Amino acid sequence: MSSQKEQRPVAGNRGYIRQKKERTIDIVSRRLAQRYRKEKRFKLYGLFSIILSTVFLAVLLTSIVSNGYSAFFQTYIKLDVTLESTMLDRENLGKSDFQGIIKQSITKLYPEVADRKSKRELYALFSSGAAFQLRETVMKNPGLVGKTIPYWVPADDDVDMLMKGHSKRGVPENERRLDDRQLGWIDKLVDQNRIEKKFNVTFFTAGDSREPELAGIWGAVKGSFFTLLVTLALSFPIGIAAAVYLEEFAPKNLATDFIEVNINNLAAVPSIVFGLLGLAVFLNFFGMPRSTSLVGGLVLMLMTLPTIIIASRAALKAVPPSIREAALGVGSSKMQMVSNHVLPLALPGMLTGTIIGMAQALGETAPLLMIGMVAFIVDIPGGFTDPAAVMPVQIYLWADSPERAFLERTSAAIMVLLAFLIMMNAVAVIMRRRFEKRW
Amino acid sequence: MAEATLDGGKKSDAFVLTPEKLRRQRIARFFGEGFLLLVASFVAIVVLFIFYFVAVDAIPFFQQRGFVEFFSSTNWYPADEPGEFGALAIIYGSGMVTIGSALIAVPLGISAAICLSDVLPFSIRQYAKPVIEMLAAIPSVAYGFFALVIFAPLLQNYGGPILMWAWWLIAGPFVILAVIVVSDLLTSGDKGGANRETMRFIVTAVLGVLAVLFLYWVGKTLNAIQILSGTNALNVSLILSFMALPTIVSVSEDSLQAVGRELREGSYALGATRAETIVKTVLPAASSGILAAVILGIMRAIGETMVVWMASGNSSHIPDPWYNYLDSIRTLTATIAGDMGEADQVTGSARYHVLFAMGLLLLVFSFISNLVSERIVVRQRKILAGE
Repeated sequence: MSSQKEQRPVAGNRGYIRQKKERTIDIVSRRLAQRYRKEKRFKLYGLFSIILSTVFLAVLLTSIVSNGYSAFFQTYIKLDVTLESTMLDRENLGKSDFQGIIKQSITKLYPEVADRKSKRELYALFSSGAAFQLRETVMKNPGLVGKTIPYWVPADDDVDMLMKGHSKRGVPENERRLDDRQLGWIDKLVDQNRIEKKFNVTFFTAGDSREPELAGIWGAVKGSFFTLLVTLALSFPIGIAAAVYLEEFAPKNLATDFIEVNINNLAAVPSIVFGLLGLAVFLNFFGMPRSTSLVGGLVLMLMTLPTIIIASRAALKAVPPSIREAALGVGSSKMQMVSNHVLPLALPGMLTGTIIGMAQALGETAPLLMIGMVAFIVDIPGGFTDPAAVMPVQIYLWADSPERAFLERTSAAIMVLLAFLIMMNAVAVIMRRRFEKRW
Repeated sequence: MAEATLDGGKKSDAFVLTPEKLRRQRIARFFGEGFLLLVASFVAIVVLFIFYFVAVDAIPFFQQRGFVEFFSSTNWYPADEPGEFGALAIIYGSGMVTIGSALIAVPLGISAAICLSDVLPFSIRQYAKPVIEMLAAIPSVAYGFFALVIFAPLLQNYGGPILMWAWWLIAGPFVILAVIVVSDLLTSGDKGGANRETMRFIVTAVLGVLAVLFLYWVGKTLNAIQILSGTNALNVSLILSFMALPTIVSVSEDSLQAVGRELREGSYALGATRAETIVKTVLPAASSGILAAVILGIMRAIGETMVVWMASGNSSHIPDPWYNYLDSIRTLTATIAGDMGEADQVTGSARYHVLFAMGLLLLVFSFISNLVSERIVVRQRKILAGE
C-alpha cells in the first residue's frame, strides 16, 4: 500500500517516473483498506442486534413451550367403579352420592388403609372433580346403574406433577407435597397399570377452577370471542367510515387536522388509561355490568380504532387516482365513486388492518383488569352480559397461582393464545399478498 | 357499463342526469358526508372524552390533598387512614425502567433498523423482519409471565454469573471493535511509513490486552453480585426493551427508507463506501425520524402495565443508591392496575382519585411526546421534500 517510495509503472506515461509528491489517488488508496475494514465492522453492529433479538425470541418461545407442552396431557387413574343400585336413586340420579361411590372404589383398591387420616391422604391422590365427572357420565347413560365399570378419573395435580417428573422423589419428605406412604400407593397404581397419561380434554373444555387438574381455558376462549365480537362490530364500521372521510372527503382545514392529530393521540394513549376510562364511564357513570364482554369490547374498541383507521387510510391511498377520475369521468357522483370503486379495491387492505387490530385486542390485558375482568369465574359465559374472563387475563390469573401445575397450564394457555395471534397475523399477511395490487 | 350504451341506446336514460337525479345525488352526498364527518369526529371527540373523564376524577384528589405531597413525598400508604399519597418514588420508578429499557432498546433498535433497510441482502431480510415483528405480536402478559416465572428465578439464583456472561457477550464484541477502531485511528496518520503495519499490530495487541483485562475485571465484579430478588428494575427494563424494540425498528426503518435513493447514490458516486454513506448521509437525513421512533418506543415502555405489575417487585421506594437497578421498584401503571381493585370499593375517596391523577399524568406525558414526535416526523418529510 505504501507506495510513495517505490517506483511503479503509471499508465499513460511511457517508462518509469520517480514520484516526488504524494498524489491524491495515493492517499485514497492508502486509506481504502481501512475504510473497507470499517465497512465490514459496520455490518456486524447491525447483525449483532438482529441476532440478539432472534435469540431473545427463541429463548422466550422455547421456555414457554418447554414449560407448557406437558399441560396438554393429564394423568388419569383407572378405578373399578361399582354403580350399585342401592346407592343410586334411579329417579333422582343427580342427587345421588357419587362422592361416596368414588371413595368406595378407592378403598376397594387399598383394603389395608383403614384409619381416617390415612384415608384422607389416600383420597387426596384423586381429583376432587372425579365425582362430578362420574355423575355426568351416569346421567348421560343411566343404563350403567348396577354395573361395575372401569372408570378413568383425573389424578390430583400433585400426582400429575410427580408422574410428569416436575416434582422429584429425591427431596426430603417434609419438603415434598406427597409423603412416602402416598408415593407407595402411587407405585402400586403404576404396578397395576392403573395410571396413564392421556390427552387433556378438560383443559380445552372446562372453565376456570381452583384445582389445576380441572381448570380449562374454554371459558376464557369464549369470553375472548364475545369481547372481540363487540370490538369488531363497533370498530370496523367506525374505523372505515373515519378513514374514508379523512382520505376522500375531508377538506384541508383546521378541523381535519384536529381529527388527524387526535387519531394519533388515541394511538399513543397508554392502555391502562383506557381501563380507567372504562371504569369511570362505562361502569360508574353508565352503570353497565362489571366484568362482562360488553364493557371489555367497548374499551378495546377505542384501543383498536387508531390501528384500523391508519391501515384503512393507507389502503385507500394505495388506490390510484386514475380509478377515481375514471369513475367521475363517466358521471358517477363522489359517493358512488367511493362506494362502488374505491372501497371495493381498498377493502382487502382495510381487512388486513382490522385483523391486526383484532390481534392486538386479543392480547390486551391491562385495561380489562380495570373493568373487573380479573374476577374468578367458573361458569362458561353464554352471552355478552355474562361475567367473563378473557384469555390474557386468565393467563395472568394462573401466573399468580403458586401451584406448579398452574405454571404449566399458564404456559399452555400462552401457547394457545400465541397460536391464535400467529394465525391471525398470518391470515393478514396472506391476504395482503393475495389481494395486493401493483398499479 | 360500457356495453349498455352499445346495446342500441335502449337504456340511454340511465346515463342522463336529470335535475331530479342531481338533487338526489346532492342529498345523498350531503347526508353521506355528514354521517362520515360525524363518525370521524367521534374519534377526535373520544380523545377529549378520555381526557375529560380522567381529569374529572383526578381533580378531586388535588383539591383534597394538593400537589405538594403527590410530587414530593415518597410515602405511599394509600390504605391507611388517613392515607399518605406521595408518588415521587412511583414516578421515579417509572422513569427508571423507561430509561433502562431505552438504554438497551435504542442502540439495538437503531442498528437493527439500519441493518434491515440498508445492509442486509433481501434473502436474509425477509426472515429477519418477521422475527422483529413477532416480538410485537407477543401479548404483554406472555412477556410478564416470562419475566416473573422464568427470568426472575434465574436472575435471583444465578444473578452474578448471568450479569457476567451478559457483560462478556454484549460488551465483548463492542470492546473488541473499539480496540480495532482506536488502533486504526492512532496509526492512521501520515507518519509511520512502511512499518505502520507493525505499529498497528503492536498498538492493537497492547490495547487488546488492556481491553481483555478490563472485560475480565468488570465481569469478575459482576459475578460477585448477589441479587436478592429477581423481580427488580433490571428484569423489567430488559423485557420492556424487547417490547419497545419493534416500534423503534419499524418507525426508524420507515424513516431510513424515506431518505431517497438520490441521496444514497450521490454519496456512492462521490466514492463513499456503504458504511460512510449510511453514517454521514443517510443517518443525518433520517435523524429526526429516528428521534421520533425513539420517543414512540419510550412511550411504549412507559405505558406498559402487565410486565411491570408482574415482575417489578412493586415496592414504592427510591432504590438505594439511586441507580441501583437490582432493587425492586413500582411504576405508575402498575400502581393503577394493582390498587384499583381495592380503591374501587371506596369510590370518591382520595385513594380512588389518586389513581386517576396518575392516569392523568401518564396521559399528559403521552400526549406531549406524541405531539413532539409527530412534529419531528412532519418536519423531516418537509425537509426531504425540499420545502
